[in-house]
Amino acid sequence: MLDRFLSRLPISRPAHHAKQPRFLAFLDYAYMPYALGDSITWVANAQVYARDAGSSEIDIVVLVSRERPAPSWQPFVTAYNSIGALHGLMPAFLSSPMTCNVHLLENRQTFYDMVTDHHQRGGGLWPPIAALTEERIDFISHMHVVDHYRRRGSIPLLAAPRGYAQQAEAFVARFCPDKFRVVVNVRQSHLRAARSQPERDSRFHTWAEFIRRTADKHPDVVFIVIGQYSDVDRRFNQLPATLVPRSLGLGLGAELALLQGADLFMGTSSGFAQAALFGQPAYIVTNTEARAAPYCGVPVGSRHHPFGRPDQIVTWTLETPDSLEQDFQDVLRIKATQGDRVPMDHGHNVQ
Amino acid sequence: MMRARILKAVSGLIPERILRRPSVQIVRSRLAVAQRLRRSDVGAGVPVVCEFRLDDSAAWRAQFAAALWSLSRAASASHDRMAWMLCIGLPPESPEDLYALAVQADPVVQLHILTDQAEAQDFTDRYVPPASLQEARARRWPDIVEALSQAGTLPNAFTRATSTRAAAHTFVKQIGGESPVVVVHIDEAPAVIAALRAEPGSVQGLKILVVGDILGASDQIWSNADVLLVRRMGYTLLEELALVQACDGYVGYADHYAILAADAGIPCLLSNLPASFATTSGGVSPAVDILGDFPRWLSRHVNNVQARQ
Repeated sequence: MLDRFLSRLPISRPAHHAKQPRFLAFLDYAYMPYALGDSITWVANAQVYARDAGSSEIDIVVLVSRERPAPSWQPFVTAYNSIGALHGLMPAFLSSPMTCNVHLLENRQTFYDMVTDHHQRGGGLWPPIAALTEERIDFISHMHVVDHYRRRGSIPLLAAPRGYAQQAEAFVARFCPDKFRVVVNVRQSHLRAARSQPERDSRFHTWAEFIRRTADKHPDVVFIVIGQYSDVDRRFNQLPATLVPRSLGLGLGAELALLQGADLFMGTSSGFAQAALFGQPAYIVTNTEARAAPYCGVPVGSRHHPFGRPDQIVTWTLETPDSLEQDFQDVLRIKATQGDRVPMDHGHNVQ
Repeated sequence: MMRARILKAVSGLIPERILRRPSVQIVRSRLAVAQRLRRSDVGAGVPVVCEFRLDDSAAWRAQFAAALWSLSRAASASHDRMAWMLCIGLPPESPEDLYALAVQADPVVQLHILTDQAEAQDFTDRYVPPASLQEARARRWPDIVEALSQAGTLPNAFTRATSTRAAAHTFVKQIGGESPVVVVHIDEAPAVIAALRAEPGSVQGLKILVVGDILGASDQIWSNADVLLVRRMGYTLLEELALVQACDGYVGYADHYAILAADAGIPCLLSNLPASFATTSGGVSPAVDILGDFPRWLSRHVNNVQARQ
């Protein structure tokens, strides 16, 4: 309907601009939450849709309009503070190696023009053009990624966000060279002023106990605890063999780069876990919600996502120090059989 | 064209709830943009455009801030004109800093990050009105020194009200903002600390906030109790820029922090300006100082803050 109407409007542009445009992923925060996990899933979906459309590059158009800067279920984000919210997520959009041009708009007119013009030229889109008029987007589901994996045997992986690898390398060189790097994200949204779904949170003591035991057993392991500044319990700074990048001057971009370059990611099912899920490192993601299973295309209790490797593990219950230790040892055994680096065990390699 | 006119004419008869529908807004947007693209004259509705080319310079943030300062001033001079910043090339590090800078401006700056010249050409051909492009290419965009020399003598450009600025104001008060608060660039911090040690108590209750990338800083700075490294508090460039505007002085280089400070009329002591700055730059901002050392500058500018209080 919209297509037919647009085709009748006197809005044509000069013919020499008619070359086939590259894939375009668009996002209007009027109906998309400011959340790392959802942004990462959106990027992962964009990659898969782009690859299906035969494109190896993606242009990104993001709208944060002053009149509707946030979805109705995030009323605490306003035109006054939406800048901070988007700034805090921007590296996520750059974590696709396919990302090309990025347009950050506040003007709805330009947004509608760019997206519909692109559609009229026959360029591929994520989400589908109907999202513009329906003002709805599926920002949770992995189903298209799963389907893509079943059809093609692989998915395009996320990587260190462009422009942040150098910072991450400098961090490693200064604080933890030659260490077996375990990047950790413990969901603790109750520490944030605008907490959300605290029932999904993990407990500090569980992770602290696991870190103490592991640091004692494996002297060359370092734990890099990532997460929003307010979300990271200050007691992590007091644990052995533990670094907190946000307290050492880094932001989300460098954290995502550290995650993608880690020997192992461990964390609660949350935003950073999504980056691991669609990324490169071995991982242990704990406390996945049962209600998320249908969106992930796996039965509750499954140890792996359909596109996950043997050293990429998910669990469905709240973790304990013992379960974390068990999963950690399981992944180390798999890594050892794959010939990957594993940490020393009291001075001896785990084999 | 006729259909566009008809649609425009009847829009006044259409109920607001219909006009608010996305499909109607889309159609109206396309018509408005199509009309804009045909414009050959500069005026209301035609965006002010700046084509900013990122080179290999380490000072890309400062260069971007200088261009942005000029763009924002040009847009604010004529109402009903948007400001479009076309950034050609990807920054070598922390691309989010482009956004942190762009959102300082009021009127709002629309940021387009285009990977190279060919992409920029495609974009301008398709979306930028020829009138805007001609205007942009005829305009001379200032370099850092020019922006610094004029910022502060002209009405402010970086005035966008945000919660980040409000939080910075609160933060400065919380750390004892009734006394002077000075923001210092990380590279200048050792010299400032040494100067303060040489003259202890030169400014009563002085607070020093250190900004900039701290990863390369020495252990001496990291463990110094006399200064606050704001990046260790989870702050990014976005918050740092707000802090610069909320404080009483900036000590550092002719960089993006300095341009924001000078724009807000905040005294700066800058160490890398050419010696000819004061004589060649025409209307020199009274805020920018290249003369004197830190204690002298403090007594001249920041003690004035105390006097005003």
